[in-house]
Amino acid sequence: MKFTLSSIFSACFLLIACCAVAQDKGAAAPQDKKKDSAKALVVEVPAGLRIGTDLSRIAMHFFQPYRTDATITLDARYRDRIFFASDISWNRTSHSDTLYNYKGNGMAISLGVNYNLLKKQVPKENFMLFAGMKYGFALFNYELPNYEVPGSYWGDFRGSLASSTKTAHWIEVSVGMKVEVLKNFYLGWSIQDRLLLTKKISKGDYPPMVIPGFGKGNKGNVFDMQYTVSYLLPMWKVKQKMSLP
Amino acid sequence: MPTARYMKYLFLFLCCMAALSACDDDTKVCDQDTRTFANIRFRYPVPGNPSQNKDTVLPKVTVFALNKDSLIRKRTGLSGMQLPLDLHNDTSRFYFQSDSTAKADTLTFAYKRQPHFVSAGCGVVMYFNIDSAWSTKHVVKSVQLNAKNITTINEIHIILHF
Repeated sequence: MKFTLSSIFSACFLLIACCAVAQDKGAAAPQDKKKDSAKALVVEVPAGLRIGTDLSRIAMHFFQPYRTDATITLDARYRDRIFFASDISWNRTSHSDTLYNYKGNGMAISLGVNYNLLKKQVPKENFMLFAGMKYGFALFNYELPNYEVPGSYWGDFRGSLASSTKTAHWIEVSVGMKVEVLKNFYLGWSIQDRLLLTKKISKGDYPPMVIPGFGKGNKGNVFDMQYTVSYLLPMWKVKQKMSLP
Repeated sequence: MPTARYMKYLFLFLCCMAALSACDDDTKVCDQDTRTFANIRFRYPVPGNPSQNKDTVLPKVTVFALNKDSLIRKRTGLSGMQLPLDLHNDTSRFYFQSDSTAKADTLTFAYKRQPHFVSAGCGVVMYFNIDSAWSTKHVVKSVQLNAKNITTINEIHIILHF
């Protein structure tokens, strides 16, 4: 059932992405007509490194008490509409009930590019509606110090899984927005679809409960969202094309 | 444009759904049947055409693991049964009587065990990989291994032919 939901989300996500491209193309047509009358202007605008944190990771602990996560988000404007982006995540997972104890922790980094879909018309406007793609890598370890397989007829089976270190890789696509609410101070949200490349982790006999930076370890495809607060450290300037009416 | 407006609402709806699905505490819910019993069906050859087999119902079935309490006691109208395999050993042996007047058979299953962490909510279950299955031949004619891997109760793993 969850796999089906995830697949529906993926399909809708792709549909929206396609529609966005289609609308963008559709919208381009009338602008082409105006091209003759519009002046293309190139101005230098401040750019730099934007550092933030994902507030949803803090909220997550209240919904899923076994998870403690922290994510630092970074992005740096490279060209007019291209931003290099990275997320650095940390996770600790600890759960204990009558059937099993679980302990895990690890780090993850994802690197990629965001593309700003908005065309700028005002030099100081720093809104951003973006689509992006990232590659993610996690290094983590986990263990099941003890677990129990209930057996009402033959008696319960008790076992343990020793601590093991694993790596995971995934590809992530995202769409979202960032808005400058105060000077250099941004709020933003985005949704992500992550596709695990190291499938044998999720399909193995002991999939981890959580892969840091990715999500649930027994899923090959996960949906997630971020709500970020970030601060821009202006460090350099970028040439920005603007079409003035 | 109306389509663009609907797309906006669809997008918001998807965001909400994504947020909700990402936030559920999955240690609280096990949303699947985690029983990994050997699922057994009874069959007999069609009279006049012994090459064809048909499902059958046995009159009064009694089953228990050797030296254990009974699992099924003189139950009527069974066309199959689900037997829990020994979680601690790689062999399980069962006393099997199809009718109260019939001679009993001993069913033996040899397998490998593999604990499997299903999910945060379901915990660990035992998967079995059956190497072989056999029986004494008082009433049971043969034992057919239909599916070697027992990871769910929903498929037929063994067929007993009478």
